Amino acid sequence: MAEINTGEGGGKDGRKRSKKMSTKVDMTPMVDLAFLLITFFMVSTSFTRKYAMDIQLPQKTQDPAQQQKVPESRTINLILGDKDKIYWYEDPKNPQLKLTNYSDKGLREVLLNKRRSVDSMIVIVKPMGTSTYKNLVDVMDEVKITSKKLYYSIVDVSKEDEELVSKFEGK
Amino acid sequence: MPKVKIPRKNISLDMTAMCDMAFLLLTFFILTSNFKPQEPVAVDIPSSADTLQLPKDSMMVISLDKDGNIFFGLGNQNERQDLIRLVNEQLKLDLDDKEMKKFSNLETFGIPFSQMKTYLNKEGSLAEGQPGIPADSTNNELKKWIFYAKQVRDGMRISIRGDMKSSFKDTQKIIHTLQDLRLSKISFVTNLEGTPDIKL
Repeated sequence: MAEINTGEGGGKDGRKRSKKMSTKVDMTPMVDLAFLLITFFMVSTSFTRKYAMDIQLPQKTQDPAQQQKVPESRTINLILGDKDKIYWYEDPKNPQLKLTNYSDKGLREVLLNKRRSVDSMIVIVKPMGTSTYKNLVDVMDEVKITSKKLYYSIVDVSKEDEELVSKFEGK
Repeated sequence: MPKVKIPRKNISLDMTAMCDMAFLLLTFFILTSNFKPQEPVAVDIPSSADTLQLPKDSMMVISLDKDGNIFFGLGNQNERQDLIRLVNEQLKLDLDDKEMKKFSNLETFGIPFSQMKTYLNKEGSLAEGQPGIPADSTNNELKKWIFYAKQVRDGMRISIRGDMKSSFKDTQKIIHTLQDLRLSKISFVTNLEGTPDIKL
């Protein structure tokens, strides 16, 4: 190991005698520092890769008759409201609105129950204007976690849905 | 046991070569990493359990802050130069080369077309105080930016960086713009959170 050799200055006290110091410098801490910095840069450049979630938006078609017909028994409609509330119903012909939230016991349970009853479910997400971006990302996240095959669609809230919600809240 | 005194020899190893190599490696890693560009808007992105990692090549980033201001960004500086040149001649913005060069230094920007020339001639840092790109149905500048960016390089990935608290109304403007342009594959930029266990 590198070391600093001090000259054997075993001279008598009081006598001015210049000690011959060796100029060797211990490089070990310098190398340690350099490797620490390397490791930092190696790791931090791989950390800056962002994560993302791929979403498929539905095609906008002018003619409602051209829209793909889906079997309504397999659908579940989620209406995202304000203050992290989710209203959902299964049967569009006779919608019974129910309320749930973003906790583990809430939306995830609802989607898992739907998946247990119907094999490949279709989730229709209708965010209202009062919901936040985080709500949308969280819902898409839950859909991706609970579905094996992803069938979903993000659409605008219709007038009927808005009326259902206001009727539900008005109770 | 006889006490054997091992004579201690002083072994000195010259570490200079090791140190040189270490600093060379360090220089390599510093030069191949990129600085995070100064962003005009603070966006608090939500987290999701999706483990899809974004690839390194450049993509379109549409940022949305919590007040609903929309910003547009492109990763690659050469593509930004091509974009501003294309926009300048198609929309007759009347920008000269110096202003276009200044524009291409901004990775993310949120300046409406009408304010572009005055903004690029501003003194000081351009990053603050950008008002955002309008995306209303009456004046959808975002649609034009996306359209011209697609002409610069077709098949560019489109990602949306939204703030957690931004309202869906503003997100909906972006979604409608993309649907008008018949673009359906987009990505939401998120932070990573742990994947939960699902028991069916």
